[in-house]
Amino acid sequence: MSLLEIEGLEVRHRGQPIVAGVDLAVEPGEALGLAGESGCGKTTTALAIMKLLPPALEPSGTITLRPPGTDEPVRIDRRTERGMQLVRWRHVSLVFQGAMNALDPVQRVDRQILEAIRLHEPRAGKLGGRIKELLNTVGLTSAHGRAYPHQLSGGQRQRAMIALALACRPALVIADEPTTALDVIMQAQVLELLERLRTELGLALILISHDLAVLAEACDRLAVMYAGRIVESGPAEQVFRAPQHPYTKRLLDSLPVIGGARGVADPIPGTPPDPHDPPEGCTFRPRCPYAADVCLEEPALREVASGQRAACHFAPWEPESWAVRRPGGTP
Amino acid sequence: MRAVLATRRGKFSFGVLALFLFIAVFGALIAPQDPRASSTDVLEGPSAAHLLGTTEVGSDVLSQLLVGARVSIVVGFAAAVISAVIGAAIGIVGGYFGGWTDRAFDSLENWFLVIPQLPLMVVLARLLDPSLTVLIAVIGLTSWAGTGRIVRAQVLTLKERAFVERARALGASDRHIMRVHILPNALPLIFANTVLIVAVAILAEAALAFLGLGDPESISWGSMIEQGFEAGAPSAGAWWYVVPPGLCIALLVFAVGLFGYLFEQQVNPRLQERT
Amino acid sequence: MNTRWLAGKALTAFLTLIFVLVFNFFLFRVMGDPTSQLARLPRATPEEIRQLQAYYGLDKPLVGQFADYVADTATADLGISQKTRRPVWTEIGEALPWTLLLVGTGTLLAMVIGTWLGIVAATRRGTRTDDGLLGFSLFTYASPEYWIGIILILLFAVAIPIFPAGLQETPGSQLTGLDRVLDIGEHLVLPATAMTLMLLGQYFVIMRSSMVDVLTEDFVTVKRATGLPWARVVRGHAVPNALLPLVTLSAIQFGIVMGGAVTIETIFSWPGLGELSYQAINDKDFPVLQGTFLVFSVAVILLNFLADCLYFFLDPRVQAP
Repeated sequence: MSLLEIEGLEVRHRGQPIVAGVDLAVEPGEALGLAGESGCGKTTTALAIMKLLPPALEPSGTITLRPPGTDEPVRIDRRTERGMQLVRWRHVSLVFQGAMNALDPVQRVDRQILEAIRLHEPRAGKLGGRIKELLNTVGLTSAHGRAYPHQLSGGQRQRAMIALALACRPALVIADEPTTALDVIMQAQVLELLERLRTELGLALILISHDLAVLAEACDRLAVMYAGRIVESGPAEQVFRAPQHPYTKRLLDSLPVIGGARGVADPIPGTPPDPHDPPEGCTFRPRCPYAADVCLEEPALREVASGQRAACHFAPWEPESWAVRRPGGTP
Repeated sequence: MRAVLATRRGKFSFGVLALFLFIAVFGALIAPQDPRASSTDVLEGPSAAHLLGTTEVGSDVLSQLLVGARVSIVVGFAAAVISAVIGAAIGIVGGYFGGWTDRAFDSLENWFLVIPQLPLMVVLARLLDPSLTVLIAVIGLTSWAGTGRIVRAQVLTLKERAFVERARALGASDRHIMRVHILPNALPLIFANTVLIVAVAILAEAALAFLGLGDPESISWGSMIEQGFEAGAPSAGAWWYVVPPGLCIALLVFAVGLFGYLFEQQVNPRLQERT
Repeated sequence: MNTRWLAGKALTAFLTLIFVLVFNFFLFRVMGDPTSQLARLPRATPEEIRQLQAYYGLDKPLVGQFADYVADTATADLGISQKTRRPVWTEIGEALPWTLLLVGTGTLLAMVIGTWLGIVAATRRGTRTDDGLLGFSLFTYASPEYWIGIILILLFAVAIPIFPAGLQETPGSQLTGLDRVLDIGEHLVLPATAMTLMLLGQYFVIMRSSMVDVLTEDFVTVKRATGLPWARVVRGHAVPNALLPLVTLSAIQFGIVMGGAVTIETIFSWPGLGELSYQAINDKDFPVLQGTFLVFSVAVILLNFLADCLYFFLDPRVQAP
């Protein structure tokens, strides 16, 4: 049974869908990457899992969590606020995008971790050792713990945030753009850290990023989102090697290749669609170089290769087909 | 301006302001009786003859109220204008030249902001013989610091803008730049802030009049409250004498404050309406 | 500990104090030459005027006069009241505790109630409650405080006589101990209410805006994400952060408080510095006016500095950047 199962998740803002039907599953101990441009609904999905959406956004669909050690599966979509308070952080936690201001400025870092633990384990005894261990795990010392957030650097704050997210030993951690604000070296360190934690603690991870390179390296499976929908999903390496959706292909093409041709990658022309005025049929159609008449009909997300799904009429794509197919129809 | 008037609050506050301005101008004409005329109906409650009752010398309260509007509003506006001129001048000169001038002006501003305003005005007003001009001067001279500070902040950003550099490159004098380039751009902010100062000035005039430092010749809302208080109106339960003037002050200041706040929302680049 | 910041604030306070002394000196000795003011009263003879000039040291050069002035002030010699012939310092000393009582009570209540309402409004931003509270606070700000006092008298001392209409205790009564305290307390209710209503609006608006800012911060969402109930997020994390700017911003209030003390004490014949000032205005008693102005100004400067100290102890970002 999956650890997390999302079925038909929709999030609407004044009736218009920001997330328009997402199905996702995460297995225990698995790392799932969620890729896509800014505004495609990745963060919204993450907030929906935590049931932290602002009141203006209305979710629908089912989200089921099966934390290890519990008998009954948790239906997050049905939980009340009080019910969610038991679930949040204890079973699933979130590392927020841009941790600059994610910590209370007037509280010491170790106190904030302590507070989170005590909230879910009120009878836990002395926690000094456990907190120290948590800090060490992310490469911070007790001195960092005694500091106030403003006294730590950006990278240190990010790591403190990760330590906080691990405090209650959740089964699932969602990391929203954990590397975006960091330089390349820090990026590598954080990714390595997350990977280590996964193998050591058996954590499941949802890694959200617009950077496909980061995801391809760190994840078991990938899901690519566009305009609030999943357009492709499958084993990371497979998707990376043989993408099955034009959008994924363009994302991959825009990654610089060491030793490859020097040149600025072509950005994908056009802009993501306005949720209040979505295009007819496939949402990627206006920007897709391969769009044809059939694309006026919305493609379903279907299995096109073993374990891999894509929402494109022309899938499955062979590696050569990308160059051969021309706009307007089959060659 | 149009944006402010589009909202319900904007219409309401502007409407109230217009009403009071009308009374200020035509008060003497529409007053039913001579506000200074005494009669034998001393401290009488509202009646058909005197809609808001009478004072301790039998004068008609309503007439006094209508006539008194003028002083309160004139002093309020005039003092605010003076305060705006001083504040804008100091803010622009200090902000533009920077250095020691700016620091000196800044200290001066700080000082005026720290010193308790009413005691200061009281002291100044008492030293001079009370008159409308003195009132306007005293209030204007003690209220400029807030405007000065805001203007200075804006000048600091304006100073760096391209059109100023261009003007300097063309050899324009400092005075020219300040007058022709900086001042017009700072005007909306100055105006918005001045409206709020009008509210403060009206309250200040009323307070000074209440303390007996107003012009003894004129009737103003503050002086009405003072006369009423001195005549023992509160203890006698003569609410018609002292409540209406205060209510007028409150309403006018409320409307001015609301209008000024709405205007400032439109004009101040750093403020954003968060509703 | 970053004491440099604090030392800087102390220095500013000290300099402002010096400036107040200079200003006061020029205002009264130079502009309001006491003898010339006195000379306007019909009773003073030329002989008396000359004596007063010598007494005030007006025959000395300006700098000498200022030095005298500072020395006098430092030793609490603020002159003699022209009306009662008693030392100004004595008059002030008698009046000060009453003002402290009134101002202290009013400010404390305004802070507590205003802050609480500000939190309520911020957590219900955009609702009718919020709008209502905003309207109410703007109205109390717009209303002259002495007018509020008069209305309170009309309502609760005349129409429904629950509270006394003035003074600080029942005249002629020789109460002691708890009885006296209660009597004073009864007399304090209306004036303190007037003062509270006057100051409420500012604290409310500042706290509300501070809370609104804090509630948009990321760490609030994070706290909620850790499973903390919303009430605890607000109480334990949002409010403490929102209180910080309140400390500095409400320091602006202190000047207004002094002004309010003058007018409210006048209405209620409360024997504090405000009432003293009012009498001095009417009697043209300049030494007393000068004295009360000095005390008011010094009080504001001191309170500002204390607010800075408090801020220093509360905000770790200032203590150890």
